[in-house]
Amino acid sequence: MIATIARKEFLEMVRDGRARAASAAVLAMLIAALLMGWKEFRDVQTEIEAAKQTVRQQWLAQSPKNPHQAAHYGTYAFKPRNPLSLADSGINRFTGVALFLEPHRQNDLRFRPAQDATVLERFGQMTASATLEILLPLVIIMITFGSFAGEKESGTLRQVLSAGVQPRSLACGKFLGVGAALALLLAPATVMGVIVISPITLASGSWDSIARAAILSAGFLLYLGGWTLLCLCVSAWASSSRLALVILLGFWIGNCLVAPRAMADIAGRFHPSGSALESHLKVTREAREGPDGHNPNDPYWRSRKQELFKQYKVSNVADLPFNFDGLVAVEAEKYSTEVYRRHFREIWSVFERQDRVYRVGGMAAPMLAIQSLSMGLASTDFQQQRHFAEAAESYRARMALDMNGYIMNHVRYGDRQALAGRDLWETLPDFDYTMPDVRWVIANQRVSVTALAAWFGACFILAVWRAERVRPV
Amino acid sequence: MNFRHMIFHEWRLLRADRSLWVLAILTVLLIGYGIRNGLTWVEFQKQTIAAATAEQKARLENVKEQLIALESSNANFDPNYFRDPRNPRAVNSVYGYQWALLPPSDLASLAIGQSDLHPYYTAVTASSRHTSAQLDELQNPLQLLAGRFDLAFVVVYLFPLLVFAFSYNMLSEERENGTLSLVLAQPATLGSLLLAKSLLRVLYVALIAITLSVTGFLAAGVHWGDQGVAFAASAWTLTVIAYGLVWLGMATLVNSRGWSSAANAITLAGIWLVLVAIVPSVLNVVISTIHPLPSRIALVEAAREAQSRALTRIGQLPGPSGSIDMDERARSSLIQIITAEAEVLPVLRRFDEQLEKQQQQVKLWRWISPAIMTQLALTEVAGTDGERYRQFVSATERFRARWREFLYPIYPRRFTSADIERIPRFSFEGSEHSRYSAETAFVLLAAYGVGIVASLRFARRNFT
Repeated sequence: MIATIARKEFLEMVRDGRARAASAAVLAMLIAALLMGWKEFRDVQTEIEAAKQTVRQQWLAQSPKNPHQAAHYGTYAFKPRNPLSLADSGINRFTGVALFLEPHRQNDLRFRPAQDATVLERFGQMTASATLEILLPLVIIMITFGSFAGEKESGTLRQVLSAGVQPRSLACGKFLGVGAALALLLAPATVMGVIVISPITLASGSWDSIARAAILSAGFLLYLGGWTLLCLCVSAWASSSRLALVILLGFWIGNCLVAPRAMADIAGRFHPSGSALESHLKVTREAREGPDGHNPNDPYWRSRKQELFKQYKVSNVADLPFNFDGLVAVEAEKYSTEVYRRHFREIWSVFERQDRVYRVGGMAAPMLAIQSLSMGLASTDFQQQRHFAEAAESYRARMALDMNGYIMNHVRYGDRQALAGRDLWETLPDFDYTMPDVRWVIANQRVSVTALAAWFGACFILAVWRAERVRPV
Repeated sequence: MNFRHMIFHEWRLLRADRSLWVLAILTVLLIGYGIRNGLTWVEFQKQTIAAATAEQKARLENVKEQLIALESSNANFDPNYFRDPRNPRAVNSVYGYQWALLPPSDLASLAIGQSDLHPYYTAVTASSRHTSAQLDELQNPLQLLAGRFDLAFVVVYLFPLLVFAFSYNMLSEERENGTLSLVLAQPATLGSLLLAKSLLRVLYVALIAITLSVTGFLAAGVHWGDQGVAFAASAWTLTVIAYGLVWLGMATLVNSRGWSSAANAITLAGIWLVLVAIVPSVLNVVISTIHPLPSRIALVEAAREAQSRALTRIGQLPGPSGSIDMDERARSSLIQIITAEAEVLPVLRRFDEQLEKQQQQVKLWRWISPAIMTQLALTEVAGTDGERYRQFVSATERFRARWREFLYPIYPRRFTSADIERIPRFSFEGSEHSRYSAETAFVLLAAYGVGIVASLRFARRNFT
């Protein structure tokens, strides 16, 4: 019985010209989004690889110079991309692409693509994820808003019920029919996705991308399944198909257009980010209150000298078992590093708290939950950014320590003309960053996953409850 | 039944519809929320600008006092000590730099546009803009991605829905209720009926547009006396009215096709979805793919290459506490900066050209959706579309040149308290244009006119 109903529903949808047109349009957009995302990923990846080589060569090719000057020349770290970012560009356009690593301060990533972009940027990007999050629910609404209400209006519901069909079977059949139609719609896109991701996955040789894609698909199944159930429920409840449509469209507008903006705003009100100017002035003041790493005659170092004299039982700075100027550089760097780490930790923890509020909002608007999950799996959310920035910061601290440490341990005190060369530059390994794997992502996305499961569960319960009570009038 | 009767009757019908009142209240709430968000952001900007101004004033006074004290005590001057305000390099990066400030324009709270992405305050030092760190506002990138719930969002996304709500069943409802034939049995033509209904709705649209605009202006505390403000405000209002009217025109056109109310609703919802929700974001992806943004990474690499080459040519600067002549050291570092910049200039120029190309593409393609046209126009009037920011960046660069002219001659000697008095000051006067809003309003109004004429012809065919 259910299979018969499902087949009838499926055929009806497939034969509906409007639904076919809309579905074809959405499918075209999905495939186009996948292809364009893949092109962008490939281009950016190539560029980043080349840039990494170049900055490494630039570092190694530095002419012989004072190691501290070499550290000041610094190097750049570039945030890598995950293959799944072709489906969801997340915050990538709004965060910097390159991180300058230099002594005495920790920088934020520079060059946000959105700053160079046009006014269109604020309309968002119709990525593959966005198509599934925003457009596919519209298709679902279109093919299901009349499923019960339309039958009520045309009188066929009374006939079907009088034929002895259980309301529950009817609902089940309709759900399966819709599911089959959607599967038909999504099949080509899924094939395309697999074709696009496979070479990248095979090249990297790990299961991570496949696991991410699988979890993302499961997430979308919950999201879209919930939408289908909700539409069936509203259609069963509403007295007319027009009312059902209005309610569903209203929910769609609230969920897909209004909720992200409103929730981001609310998150900002709960945990205000504060003023960048204030923050900047505070951190530069704190850094300057510390010892001056460029001037060993600073009062702080005079007292430090006395301490060291006592410790090593010498009376002349030249008798210390290391270069005092080098120690100055090392210790000053340690101080400023701590100051800046505190500063960034404060800022980043506010952002993470805001993100958490946003994800909690996913309990009310499932779009927020699936969007967060999608960005997390595509490694285009803030947590990934923070992970990268912290890794780069460790490398920066090491670079400064290596260079200053060389002066401290291998340059005689007072020798101002000492130069180091490629031998020293090569002792610093290249910055090798690997993104955390999918398990780390899931641990961070617990709220989103729960919200999606709750969404599906709630819609299921509502649909079952309403379907039981469906009446032909 | 004359024209006036028809309008009056139509007004009574709309007034009696309770769902429209609910919608009106909801709209008022959303407009209020949108205005409030815009105001919060602009207030924050103004506070930051005031804080920067105060910090600069306090800092310069402090430095002057320190200089006077150091000069009278004639303390020992070590040119490598970076915490001495007599050191010109320290004056450049720590003590004497000026803030370049971009104050929000009068209407900036109505459309946040790009203003939360573009830095509105910069510390101008002698270093090039492209290599020095930029102070971006502390904003969660997720919020930047989600966008702002400002008045422009309410106008561009939600205003059309409101217009549809009271016009989707203009004619179809009369036919479904059976009253259309009764009305037409009076000495009233279908054309005059349609015009009467349209005219009333035009008044509604204008009323809503003017109300939300004026509320926005009042809340923003616009200074009507300022130059160009009255013109900008009228441009804004006219654009909003024209935008509402183009959707009204679409609703009228769809009605004239003679379908049922439900079919009208679905069609109009579909048009809205395509033109507002889908086309702009798809166009964004398409333009980014076909005309990608020039690569900042390439720019960074070129700048570093240039810097290395400059360094190699001039010779290495010694490490900390070098005993080399201050003159030579200062000269070397100057030459280094200037040489490196000269090398990077061609790359920068190419970069700017590519940026400009992308901007042009968007300007060209904006005609495919009223939402894009209107967003561009509204942000232009509010001064938040990036044009004002580009003017600010040019002003900053001109000031940077003045700063270098002032500071570089001082490099070989010490900075004195007399020099403090001569420090150049930054000032910026932006000019807003309303070119896009004028064009947009004109095009939208013309589209409305065309829509009405077409509706009359279709209606005669489909309803009689």
